Amino acid sequence: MDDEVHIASFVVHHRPDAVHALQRLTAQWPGLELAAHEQARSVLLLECGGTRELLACMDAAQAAAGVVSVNLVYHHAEPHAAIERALSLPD
Amino acid sequence: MSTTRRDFIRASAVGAAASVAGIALPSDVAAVAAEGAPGDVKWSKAPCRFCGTGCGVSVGVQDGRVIATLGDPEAEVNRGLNCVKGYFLSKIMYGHDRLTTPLLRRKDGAYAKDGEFEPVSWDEAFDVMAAQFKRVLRDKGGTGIGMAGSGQWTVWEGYAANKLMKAGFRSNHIDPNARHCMASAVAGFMRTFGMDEPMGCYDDFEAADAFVLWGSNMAEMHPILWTRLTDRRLSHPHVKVAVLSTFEHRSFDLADIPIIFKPQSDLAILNYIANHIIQEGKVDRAFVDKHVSFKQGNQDIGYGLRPDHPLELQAANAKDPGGGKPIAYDEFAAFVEPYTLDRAVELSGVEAGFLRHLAELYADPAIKVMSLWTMGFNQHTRGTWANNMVYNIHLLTGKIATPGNSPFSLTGQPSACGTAREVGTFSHRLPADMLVENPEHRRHAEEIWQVPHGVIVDKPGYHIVQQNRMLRDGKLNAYWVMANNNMQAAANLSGEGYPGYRNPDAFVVVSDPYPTVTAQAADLILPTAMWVEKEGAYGNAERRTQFWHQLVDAPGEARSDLWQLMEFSKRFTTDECWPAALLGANPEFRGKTLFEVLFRNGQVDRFPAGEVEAGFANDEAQAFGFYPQKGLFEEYAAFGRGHGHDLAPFDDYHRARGIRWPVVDGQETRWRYREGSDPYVKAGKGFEFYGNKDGRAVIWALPYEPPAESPDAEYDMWLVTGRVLEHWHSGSMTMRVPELYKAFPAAVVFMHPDDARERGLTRGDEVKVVSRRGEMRSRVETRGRNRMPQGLVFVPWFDAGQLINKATLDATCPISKQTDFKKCAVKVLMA
Amino acid sequence: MTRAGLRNLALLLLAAPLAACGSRHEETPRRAPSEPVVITGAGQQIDAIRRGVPIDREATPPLMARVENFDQLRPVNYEMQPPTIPHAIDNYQLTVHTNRCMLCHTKSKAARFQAPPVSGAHYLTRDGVVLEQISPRRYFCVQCHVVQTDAPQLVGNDFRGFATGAEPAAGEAQ
Repeated sequence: MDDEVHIASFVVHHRPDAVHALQRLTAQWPGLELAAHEQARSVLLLECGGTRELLACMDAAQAAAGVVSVNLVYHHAEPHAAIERALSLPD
Repeated sequence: MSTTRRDFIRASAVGAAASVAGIALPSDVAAVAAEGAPGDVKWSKAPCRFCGTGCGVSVGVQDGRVIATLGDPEAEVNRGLNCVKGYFLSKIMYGHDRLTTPLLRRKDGAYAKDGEFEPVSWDEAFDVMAAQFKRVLRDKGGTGIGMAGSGQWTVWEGYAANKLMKAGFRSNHIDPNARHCMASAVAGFMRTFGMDEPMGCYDDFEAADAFVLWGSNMAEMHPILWTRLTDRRLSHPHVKVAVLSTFEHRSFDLADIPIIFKPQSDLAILNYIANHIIQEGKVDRAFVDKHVSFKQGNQDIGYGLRPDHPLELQAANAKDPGGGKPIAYDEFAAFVEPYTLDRAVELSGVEAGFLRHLAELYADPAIKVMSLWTMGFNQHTRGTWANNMVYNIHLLTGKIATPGNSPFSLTGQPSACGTAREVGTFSHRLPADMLVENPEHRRHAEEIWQVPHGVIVDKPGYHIVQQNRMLRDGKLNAYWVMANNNMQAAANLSGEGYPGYRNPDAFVVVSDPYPTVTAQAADLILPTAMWVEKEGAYGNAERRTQFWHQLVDAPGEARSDLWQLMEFSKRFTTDECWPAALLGANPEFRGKTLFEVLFRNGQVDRFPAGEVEAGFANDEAQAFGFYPQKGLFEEYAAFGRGHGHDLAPFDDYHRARGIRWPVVDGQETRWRYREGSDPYVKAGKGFEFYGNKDGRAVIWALPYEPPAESPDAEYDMWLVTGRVLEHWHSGSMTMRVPELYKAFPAAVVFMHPDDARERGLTRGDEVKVVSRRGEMRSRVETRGRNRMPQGLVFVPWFDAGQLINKATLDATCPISKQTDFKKCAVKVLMA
Repeated sequence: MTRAGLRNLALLLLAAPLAACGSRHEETPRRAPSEPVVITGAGQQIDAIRRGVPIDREATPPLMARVENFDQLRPVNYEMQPPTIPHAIDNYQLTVHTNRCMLCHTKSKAARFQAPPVSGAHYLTRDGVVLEQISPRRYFCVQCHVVQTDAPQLVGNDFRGFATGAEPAAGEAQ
């Protein structure tokens, strides 16, 4: 499934001090970003190549120090070719 | 800057998650999302529009249209899951035949009962409607006016309708379609606990060791709660599931104890279990002595048919079905003693081993049991009894109000609890469990409503089954049907419903988003806004009140039920609705419109339109110049605060994923009646059933009695009606969603293959299902998702094209007045 | 995964964005196949689902619809919509111990059976913990995934999915 792009977002509930652990995780994990965060909640955005990687990433986030829960909110997959298409914006 | 589809999907993913978590987006992410129309999807929370489970959904809106719905991972009820109907919620508002203008039956430009529907303006619609209502008010007063409402009304719509009818028109002939669905549960709660609605909550699913489904096909009708039950069963191998029904359906896939019983014999099984608990010495005497009292109920109470029906004339206690007398524990034990295992086997036709196993689940003190039921119990000519009798076995064993020990009545409509029950839109009720017959209750309601004492009529009005009979008899003459499809839903369409609506003495108005069978039978149709086209509140089965904002505009001239009720009230003055003596004693009310008295009363109009949350439309606030939803909610909340029905402040609900009442000191309540969990239970009591004055719950001694109609030589089969997973109730929404329609496009007659063979039928053959009332045409299904026992057919009622309620019997539980849609006699003939 | 399996999955994945932008989507045609509702005229019936039959009369019911059994993956309307089942599922056994659907659709076996594997979300518990096996809360597949029959549509639906602006199909009204 090499030609596929998976884009997913998670809501992470965590203790306030967990932000650092999440930042460390995003630094190590290719395609993972801390898209938004507040004191006890964050949004992680992941772009990866498949479901297996996605689940492993959720596992890793769950294991990060101070994380209470990780919920998958959005998960979409489609071929590379389709996803790189430029959108024609209406004027 | 060039935007790719990748950017768009990334922005959508972040936007959806941020909205779910309630996080404000950093500006760079928001900028991508706002980069022209493509990314501009706004996500908001709402409860699902369908059943009483109350799942949370995230609704995506773009360019003023709902473009997607996702299960809300932050919603405690469903944690991100929806059933197939929930996943297709986004399509329910976009059926091609949405009504966008009022339609009036006219002939030569004027209203005529036998005219054809023509589009008219709202002004003409309300002019004609007001003239008809005023004619009836002049002729016979409020008693000629009626309203059929709904457990799908939002909380404030039901509350406004209740006020308009009971205080404005002085008519108690308002009743919700929830009567068909929940009335036996309500009567059961009131008789046992003195207070409506479950003591437990959905958290019980994760705590129980055994689940017993008493006449509930949760796998199809409450799929998300079924996932919680399945989750518990599969993750904890010690957990047992018992499923009881009169035919085998999808919930049996998970059954450790599968029980197919003969119709009506559930009563005998319930009494056998009580007897087993007593005989085996498994009664929790400490609990019973402290928290329970015993009563013997009246027997031979009839079947809720018309009073001149032979079955009613024969019944000893048809006039006092709810009556009873106190008895002692020993008398109760003696009463259930004849319900031995042998007798239960004989009446039910169930294998003894299964019944014994079931009884042991309840008797064993180490097993936490959750009992679940819906229409199998409630739609039952002894529905109130069945509810009382399941509480009996939980009370005998003290298995109640603790996590996992939970007799739990499921609900079928999104706000059967929130609107029909808590707001008290039944013909005998007022908000917060109060009754129109009780002078104290009337006085209290009149005080909160700021109307003169004596406005509320002191007798219960016509319940919804009675309403169809009274339309037919010419006693109800101006009738408004809102948020329901009762022509399709009510039993005995041929004998009562259709002749009633088409009676020349009746003027029938139907408010609906779609042209339903009920709309077709009306004289005036009002196009109605639905779901997220208005701001709303629903209350689910676990006492959870949930709010949503208006997210899109209604199409054309469609207006919400709330707007219709409030706007219509402007056309009446107190002088037209209230007797002269009442106005003589309260002259300050003279000449005022009902709108001024009921909605411009300093309470409902207390909050300015500017308080509507920024970024959301509110068509009603714009129309009336104040925030009516908030004003109505806060006035309504005054009924329950401090009385065990405490609701949180209005604004809290727009932030939370629902809050379970009573909400005291900002805290919701998960288990009622237990010390430490329910703030209303006094210290040192342990348990307190404070709905009853003595703080005790009532165990009722009630017998097995036969059904109203059973198969005989001519009408030789049982008819059971019900639902399927893909369609919700009458299908007016789901039949317009292509994927749901194509999954189950038409009703069929589920039948045992041998029954089919005996009649010369094979799968797909056209048949007539004929009863003493009427007949419908359908096709035979001998395969598919249900396995029928011989002698019993199941026909779902979602299909407007095949109206099975032409054949059903309008017999009701005489206490709750809820129809028994599960038992009548039919014959099935080759068409 | 075999070539055919890949092609099938690619079809689904390609189809999603097409459906999303509201283009050729056979399940949600823009116009109802039935006649539009006419609101004037003698004997008119406004309830399309009754196929013009008055309430107090009974007509021959439509022929029993057949379950579409072509194994062609259908487009979805928006991301995270559960795909419909493109094959018959008669007599699929489901018990506490057996789940016929997962025989082919589980991650580890999907390739062998040329079936699309269930998505990652199906391995999460209610509390967000990732499991090796399908989550028990996802066990009843047909709660979300339904078959489709060949029944002719009675009422159209003009739901539109995400307007991404991508390749608007010619002739589509906005």
